[in-house]
Amino acid sequence: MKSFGEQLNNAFGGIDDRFILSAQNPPKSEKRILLGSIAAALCVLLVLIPFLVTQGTFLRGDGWEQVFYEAATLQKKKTGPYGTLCMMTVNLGDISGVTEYQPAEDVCLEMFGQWLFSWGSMDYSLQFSLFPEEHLESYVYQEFEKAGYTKEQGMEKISQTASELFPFRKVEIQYTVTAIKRDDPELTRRFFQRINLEKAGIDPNEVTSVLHYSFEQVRLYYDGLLSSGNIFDDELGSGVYFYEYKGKWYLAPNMLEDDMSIDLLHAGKKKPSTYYEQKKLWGTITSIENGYICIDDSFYFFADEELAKGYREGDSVSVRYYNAVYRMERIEDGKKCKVARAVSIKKEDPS
Amino acid sequence: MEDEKIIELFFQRSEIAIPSLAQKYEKPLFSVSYRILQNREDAQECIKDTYLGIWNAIPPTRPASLYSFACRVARNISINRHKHNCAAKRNSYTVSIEEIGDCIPASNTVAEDFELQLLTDTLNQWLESLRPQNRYIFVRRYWYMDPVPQIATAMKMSDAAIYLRLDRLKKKLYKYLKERGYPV
Repeated sequence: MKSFGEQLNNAFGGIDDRFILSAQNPPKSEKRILLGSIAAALCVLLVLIPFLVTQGTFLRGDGWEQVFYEAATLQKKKTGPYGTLCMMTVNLGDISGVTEYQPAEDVCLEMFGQWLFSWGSMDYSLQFSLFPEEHLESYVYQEFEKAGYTKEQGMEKISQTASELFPFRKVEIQYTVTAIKRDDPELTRRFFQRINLEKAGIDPNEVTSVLHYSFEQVRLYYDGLLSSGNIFDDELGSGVYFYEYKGKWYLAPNMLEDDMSIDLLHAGKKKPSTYYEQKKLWGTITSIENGYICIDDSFYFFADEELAKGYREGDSVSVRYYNAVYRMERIEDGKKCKVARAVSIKKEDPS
Repeated sequence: MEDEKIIELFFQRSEIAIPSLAQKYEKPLFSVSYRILQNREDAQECIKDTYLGIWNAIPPTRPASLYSFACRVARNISINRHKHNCAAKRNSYTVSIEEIGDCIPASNTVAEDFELQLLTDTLNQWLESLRPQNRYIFVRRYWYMDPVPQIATAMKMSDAAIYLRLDRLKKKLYKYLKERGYPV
């Protein structure tokens, strides 16, 4: 590993001046552009969202079910392939610039929710329905084929691996939409300039509409215990693009986590597998709650009832776990912690 | 004083060249050095060596950016000093290098200058492809070796969010290098 560091030092130490200079100060988020009246936007939303949702015509068949819509807060839920429940709460209260709320905009809200669900639960196969087949063909399916899987088997394998390594039971997503713009000339120009559609196998001439969302306060909560923090405070400061292509809406190609999904596809096949490599940790159980055993108040392990049986707080234990470690923070106090799947737990003599 | 004037002072071999440089950039240079060495005295010594190194390099070199040139010299000198210091000691340099080490291919061929330049060019291209926020986080962590909480404060994000972002950036870099034929 040390030679890696040496190579990094030599190569990374020689990066261009402009990157060193530009990192002197944090980049500024794009200034939020406020258009139209908030009151007008809210009125449109209040009238149209319940109507649109009950029509059900724009749901992409991805299983989102509305829980409630009240005071510009929309809540939907869906269940992942391995039973993880996702609750998505979207705050629409600050939206401005919406002059005509259309079905596409709700589709896109769900798509973004699904993308976050996929991202947060590590089940990247849930992203695939958000991108056109042409794109998946060149980026994902070829890898499935190489690994000896059909499309269905590949997706199943990814979901299965994610559920084994990160068996969250409930992922709660909360985000605020600050602006929705459809076919805005400047944003559309930027979309075609920044997003390489051709590389993703998409014919730009077939794109009939471009939608841009701006977000803030995007947070994920896991099993009522852990949180990702505000993950996209700045990354999505410039917003997310959706586009209409051959009559359907899709998420911009740059959002596809194809590299991650392929990693999961190969997990367990590669030798050694990074994901399934096992490590061991010694420590004291500081809490057992919500399906997790916490060691030394800093490392949470997924531990079902069977695995946690017979243990209690204060026990000295050794934990063997999969080295697919997720960094999060505890909801209660914001304390940084790690999360991983325990393989086995054994009592150890504290002496 | 403007950078061009300071560079000109070096070219003139003026005795106020180094004090002028120090007045303007001592703080960031010390910061770069200290994060690598985690030792105030060592860092101060390295800064003195940095001034000497710059004095010897200008002329003939005329850097496009005095700031990045000086930081680069300070970084290299500090890393060399680090190598001479306790190897087992884990400081921010060691930690940040270990963090990213998984993404960088281990191959003896890369040790060659030409290969090294290719790898640097590839890193430059990859950095270019990143969103500004991600690029800032990555460069601050692995070039300036800032601790994560400091980056989180600057970005007004949580530590966990920065860790998550870094994890994903490293995976993207891994993929990027792999696609370009590096033996990862």
